[in-house]
Amino acid sequence: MVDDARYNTKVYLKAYLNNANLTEDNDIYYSGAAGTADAGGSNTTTIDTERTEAMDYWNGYYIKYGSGPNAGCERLITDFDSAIDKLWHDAFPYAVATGDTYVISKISTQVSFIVAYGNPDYALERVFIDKVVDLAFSIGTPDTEGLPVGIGYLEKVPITIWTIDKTGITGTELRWKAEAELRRVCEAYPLGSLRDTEKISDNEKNLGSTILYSVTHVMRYKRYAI
Amino acid sequence: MTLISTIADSIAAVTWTTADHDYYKILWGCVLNKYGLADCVAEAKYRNDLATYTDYVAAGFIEAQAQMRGIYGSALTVEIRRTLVGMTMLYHVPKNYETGGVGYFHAYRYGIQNLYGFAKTLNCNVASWDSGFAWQEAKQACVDLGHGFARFNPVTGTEEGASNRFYDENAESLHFLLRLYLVDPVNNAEALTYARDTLWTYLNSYHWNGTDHYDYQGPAWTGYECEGSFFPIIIGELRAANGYSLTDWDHLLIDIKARFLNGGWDSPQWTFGVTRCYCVNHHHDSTHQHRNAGTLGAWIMLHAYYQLLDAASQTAMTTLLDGATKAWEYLIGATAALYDGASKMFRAVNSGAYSEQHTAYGLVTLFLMGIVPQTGSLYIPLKEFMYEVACLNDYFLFDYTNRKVRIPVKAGSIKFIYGASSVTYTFLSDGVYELNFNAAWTFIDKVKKVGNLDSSLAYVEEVTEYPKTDDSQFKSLVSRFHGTRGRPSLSVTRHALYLEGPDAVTDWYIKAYRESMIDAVIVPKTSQNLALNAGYFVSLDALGFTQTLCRTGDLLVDGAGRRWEIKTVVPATIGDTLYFYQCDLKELPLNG
Repeated sequence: MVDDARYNTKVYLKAYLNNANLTEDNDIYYSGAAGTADAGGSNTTTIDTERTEAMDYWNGYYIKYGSGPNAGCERLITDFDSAIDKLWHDAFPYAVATGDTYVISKISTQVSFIVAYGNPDYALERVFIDKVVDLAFSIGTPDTEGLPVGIGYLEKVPITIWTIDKTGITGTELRWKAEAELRRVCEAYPLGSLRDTEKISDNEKNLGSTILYSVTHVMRYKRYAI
Repeated sequence: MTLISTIADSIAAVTWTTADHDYYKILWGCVLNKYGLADCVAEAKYRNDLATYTDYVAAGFIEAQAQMRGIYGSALTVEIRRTLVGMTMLYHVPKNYETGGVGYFHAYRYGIQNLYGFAKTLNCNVASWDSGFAWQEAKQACVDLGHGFARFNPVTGTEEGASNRFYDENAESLHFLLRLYLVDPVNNAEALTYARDTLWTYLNSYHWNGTDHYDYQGPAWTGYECEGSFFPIIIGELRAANGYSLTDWDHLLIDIKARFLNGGWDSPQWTFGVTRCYCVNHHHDSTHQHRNAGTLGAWIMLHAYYQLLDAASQTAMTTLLDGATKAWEYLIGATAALYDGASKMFRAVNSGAYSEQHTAYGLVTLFLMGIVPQTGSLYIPLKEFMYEVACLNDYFLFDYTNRKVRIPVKAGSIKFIYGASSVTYTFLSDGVYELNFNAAWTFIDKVKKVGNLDSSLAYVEEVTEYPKTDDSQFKSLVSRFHGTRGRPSLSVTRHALYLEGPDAVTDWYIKAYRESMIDAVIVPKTSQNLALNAGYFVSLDALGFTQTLCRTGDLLVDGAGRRWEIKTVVPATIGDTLYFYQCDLKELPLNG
C-alpha cells in the first residue's frame, strides 16, 4: 500500500502550480533598472545619462514613474538610443521632469497562466490569443514503475510549458521564467522522495504569424510504500 | 461633480448582492463586473424550475447572454439542455407569447434565437429546434402578411402583422431569419436571401421616406421613432452576413446622421418637436416620452458606427459627448428626467418609479459616455441580443472598484472624460484593451492589449490585420484556377473556432464554432498545378487563399463536404496592403 496522495499526483501538482509565482520579483533573468530623469524629456521621451546599455536594449520593457506628475503610471518603451541616452515610450499624461524617478521592468504584474491536464483537441495557440493567457502548464499522465515489494513506486510526471510572444516579453523568456518556477515548485512538492526534473524536449513551432514555444520536463521521484 | 463620481453614486445606490431575478440587471451587471457564472447558473436554474413558457424564455435569455459574455460552464450547460427540452414548441419555433388562449412565436418577445445554436452545438432536441424548418415557417408568415410579422403560430396558421412598423415587425422578422441563417449558413442560405432581397428591399421601398430616414410605419405613420437606435445594429449584422456588402446601405448611414447627428441636440431623435430632450425621445412628432433603454441603444450604435461616419458627423458626435455641457451631464439633468439626484437612480421613462434595473441601464450608458472617439474609436461587435437590447459582449467591462476598463478598439486616439480632467490615449493597433486608471480617473496608469478582435463576429467594418485592397488581386488568383484540373472550391463554409469557459475536468477551454460563408480557394495537394504561382507550395494536405481573416484552428468545409483545419495563416501583402491570407490546411479524416 502507498499513501493516498499517489493516486492524486496530478491534482496535487496542479494545486501547487496554480500558486506559481511568475512576477518580476522572482525573475532570475532580468534585473531591470532604476534611475532618475535628466532634463530634456517629454511625455513621450525620457533622457537619463545613466542609461548606458546597448542600442535598443530596453525596447519592449516598461517604464514606471515613482515620483513627479506621472507617479504610478507605466508605459511601454518603444525605442532606446544609447548614443543619446534617450528612451521613447508611449505617452505619459505629463512631460517627464528633471529628477523624476523611474524603474524599468520587463513584466510588472503576475503572468496570466493556466494549469490544465493533457492537451486540448484544438489549436493550442488560440488559448493564448483568445483567452489572454500568457502561459500554460500542461500536466500529462504520470507513468508509474513498481519498485521491489514494500518499497513503493517510481513515478514520472511529464509537464509541458507552452508560451507565445507577448508585448514586452518573448515566448522564450517566458518559458525560461516558467521553467525556473517549475523547478522551485517541484522541489517544494511535499510528497515522496527528493524530486528531480529532466528536460526531454524544447521546441519552437512556427505557425506563420505566431510562434508556439514549448518545453517538456519530466518530474521524477519515488513514492514510498506505507 | 465628475462623471466617475456620478457613476460611483449610482453603483452604490444599487443592491448588487441580490439579482432579484431580474435578467436585465444581471445582463448589465455582468458588464459592470457585478455578476458572473454562479449568478447566471442560479438564475437559469430558478427559471427552469418554474417551468412556465415565460420562464423558459427568461432562462434562454440568461443562458445566451452568459455565453456572449464568455461565461460558460458545465452547470450552465445542464440548464441550457433543460431549457431546450422544456420549452413549448409550435412546430419548430418556440412559444414565447400567449393571447386569447393561443400561443405564438412573437418577433419581439423572443430573446431566444440563440437557442437554435445551442441545440445544434449540444445536439439536444434538434428535431424541435430545427433552424431549417424554423426559417421556412417564419418566411411563410412574412409571405402571407406581405411584410414582417409581429407573431405567428405555424400550427394554427395564425399570423399577426400588427402595424407594420419598420423595426418592431420588419427588422425583427429580418433579424430572426438572419439568426437562423447563421446557425446553418449552408442549408439555410435562402433565409439570408429572403431577409436581404425581400424584407430589406421592402423596408427601403415602403419605410424609407426617400430623403433622409426610415419612417415609423412607412406612409401610414411617418416620422422618427425611437427604435432607430436599434435598427442599424440589425442591418449592420445583415450587411456583415452578406459579406460586408448591402444594397441601399447608404440609406442607413443617412438615417443615422439625420436622426442623431446633423442637428446636434436638435436632431429629431433627441427632440420632441422643437423641445430638446437630451436623450432618446419616443416619437419626434407625436409622443413625448424619454426612453432610457433607447438612449443606451443609441450610444452603443453611435459608437459602433463612428468609424464609418464622415468627418462632420464624427465631430457632431464628439461634440454631443464632450461639448460645453456633456452628454452625461444632460442625461442626469432635469430636462432628460430619467435620473433622480436624491436616490442616484434611473428610471425607464420620464415618469414613474426609479428602479435598480434601469439604474443598471443608466450606468452602462454613463460608461459609454465617458469614451470620446477621436482618430480611434470603439470596435463594437454588432449583435442585437433581443428586442431593444443591443448587447455588449465580453470585450466590455467597467470595473469601478479596480478602476479597470476593457474595450474593443479601432486603432487611434481616444479620449476618456471620467475624471475632473480628460486623458487621451493613442492605441497603436486594433484589438481588445484593458486600461487601469488612477484614483481620480485622470491618468491611465497602465494599458494592456489583451486580445485580438474576433473576425467571425459582425462589425460595421470587417476586421482585418492589414488595410484591405479591392479584391482584384484575389480575383486574379481565383481566375488562374478556372479551367484547370481539380478546380478549387470558392464558396466555403468557415467554422470559426471560439473558446468558451474552462472544462470542468481538464481545465482547457471548451471549443465551439461559429459558421459563416466565405470566399476561399482551396487547392488540395493532388490538384497542384501550374496555376499556383512560384513560391506557393502545398506543404500539408491543401493550401487555402482567402481575403477573410481566419485563425489557426478554424475549419473550412468545401463544396464537396471535405473538412479542412487551418494550421497556419500567413498574410500575403505588399507593404501594409493585404492581398489575401494564405493558409496551410490539414484534411480531417471524417467528412461531416
